[in-house]
Amino acid sequence: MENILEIKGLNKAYDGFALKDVTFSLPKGYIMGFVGENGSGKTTTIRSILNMANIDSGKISVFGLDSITDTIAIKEKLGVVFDSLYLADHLNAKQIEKQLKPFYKDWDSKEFADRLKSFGLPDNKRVGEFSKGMKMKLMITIALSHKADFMILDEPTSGLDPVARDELLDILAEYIEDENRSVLFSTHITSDVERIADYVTILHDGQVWFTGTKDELSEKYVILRGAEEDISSALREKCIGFHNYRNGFDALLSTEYLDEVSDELVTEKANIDEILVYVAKEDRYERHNENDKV
Amino acid sequence: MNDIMKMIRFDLISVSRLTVPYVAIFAAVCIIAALFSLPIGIFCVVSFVMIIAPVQGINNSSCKRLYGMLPVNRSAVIKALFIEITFTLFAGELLAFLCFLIVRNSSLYKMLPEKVMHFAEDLTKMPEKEYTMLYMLAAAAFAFITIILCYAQMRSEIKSMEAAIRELIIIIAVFAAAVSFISVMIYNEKLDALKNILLPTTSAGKWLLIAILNAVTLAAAYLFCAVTVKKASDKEL
Amino acid sequence: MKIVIKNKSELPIYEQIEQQIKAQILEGKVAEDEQLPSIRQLARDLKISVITTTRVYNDLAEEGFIISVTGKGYFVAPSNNELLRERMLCEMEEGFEKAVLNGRNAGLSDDEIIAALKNFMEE
Repeated sequence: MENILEIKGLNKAYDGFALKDVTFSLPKGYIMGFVGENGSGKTTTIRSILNMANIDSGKISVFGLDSITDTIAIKEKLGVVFDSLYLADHLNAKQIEKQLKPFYKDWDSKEFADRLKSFGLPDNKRVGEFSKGMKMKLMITIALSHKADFMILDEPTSGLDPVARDELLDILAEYIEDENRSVLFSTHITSDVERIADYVTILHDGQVWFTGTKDELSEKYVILRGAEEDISSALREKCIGFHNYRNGFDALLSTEYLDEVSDELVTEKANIDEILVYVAKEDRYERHNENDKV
Repeated sequence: MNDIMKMIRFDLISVSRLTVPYVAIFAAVCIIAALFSLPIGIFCVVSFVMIIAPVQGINNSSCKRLYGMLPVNRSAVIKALFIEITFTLFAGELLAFLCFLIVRNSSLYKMLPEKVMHFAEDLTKMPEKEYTMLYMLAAAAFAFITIILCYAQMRSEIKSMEAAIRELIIIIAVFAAAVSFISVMIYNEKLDALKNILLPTTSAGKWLLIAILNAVTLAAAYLFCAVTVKKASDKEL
Repeated sequence: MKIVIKNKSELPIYEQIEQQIKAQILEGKVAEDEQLPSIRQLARDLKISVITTTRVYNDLAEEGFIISVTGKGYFVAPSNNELLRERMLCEMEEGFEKAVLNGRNAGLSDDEIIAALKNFMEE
């Protein structure tokens, strides 16, 4: 399967934060949800793909082209949607088209006009007055108008109302109907990813915690619940984000240890949100232990 | 269209809505004032700085992410920026010159109320020598502003906006001190050699100095631009 | 074709879709040789991932409910004996279910219901 995006061994350190050996890939024709807490490194990874951040080491290729040396060729065919608009607020959509058109070989003015219409965006109103959802749709319109084959969305749904979020999913589902296209979709609202994404990459503390198909993820982990006295200490060691309270405990468990689970305990499916929460808890727990040692 | 032209076009569309009415009104006021021979040279200079400031503000604030996604070289973005600054200020200089020319040749001032009319009349009756001096001062002012803005642009691209402003304040202070010192010395007839260079007595000498000032400005803008391209092209957006 | 996905169901989405498509084929609501929406169309319509719909079609093709024609898409398999048999069994079970339910509602014991069935078959 041909990969539209390939990141290998990406390292990038800032003061107090670092991406460590980030490696994952996204095949052509699929949507990947890129999830993790705020500050886990999603935006830095995206900035690296766009050659906006200078990476310390590693290799990123998009459409098989190098993200640094071929950045211009990549951006011809790459659509980007940020959480806020990157254009001058006082312009209207018509003027913005005039601005952007010369930069793209494949700009399609008809597509731009048609999309504005179908998205219900006025072309004579200042874009600064657009609602958040409208701004998001304008950025998607731009991506579609220059025939982008790969769309990167950085937190597109933060601050969007449920209706606009649903519209976005509709748009992406339609976009991906063409099997030559892919979408990388960063978000911390995982319910958006839950349904529509084919692949999921979970970033935690600058590292890839999981990458693979969404089905693999949901088959790999379960939530374990029960009374604390019913869990063996060996199994407890294998739990992720173990959380005990007055009447029992809950934790995330890899399905490879399922046969060690005694009958008194119950397991249930874990969704991405729950997985993220347990991963974050595990981290705090570890830090807590380290502090105790000191 | 090459990348630099695309960027200039892009920036022009961005600023046009904000500045076109502003520039048009301002140029009209300048020319009307000139028709009545009112002293507007200084007004021109001040206003031009006021126009260039918001334009520069737009260039710096909103576009970093845009440059991250546009299929365009960083160097083209930077070059376009410097070309815009230089051309805007040359346009300002030309406008100032045009105003002087109109002041000199218009006789509409006779329609003004008496008190103002005398004042305007004095200006039109100024000896040729002093008049060329005005051109020279305007050219010097625009050269100074262009160089300062190009420098500030360079520093804000390479380092940060804050660093650029800090350095700018220091430079302007030092420059003001130097100018005052030289003026005092010349006034006291201590630096006659320098005076002959800075304030040529002949008209031709003054025009030559104006040409040199503009050439120096262009060279400085080019130099700052080249340094910025070299140092800032790889910088993170 | 009618597909309704319950997000809160314990069944995974792909299984829900498979069951519904199978049921509609067995009930004859989707005619044999009828073309199904493409994998990507179905994903778009249901707003679910392409991998999920791919899995649905692969599973259904493996079980013989649909066939994949390269370059054309997926079609409902022509009803073969196996499939028909399954459909019949399905209908029979439904009939039994109804009969047993009615019998119990009438206050018959399980033995009495079986006896009634035997009687019915001997006639």
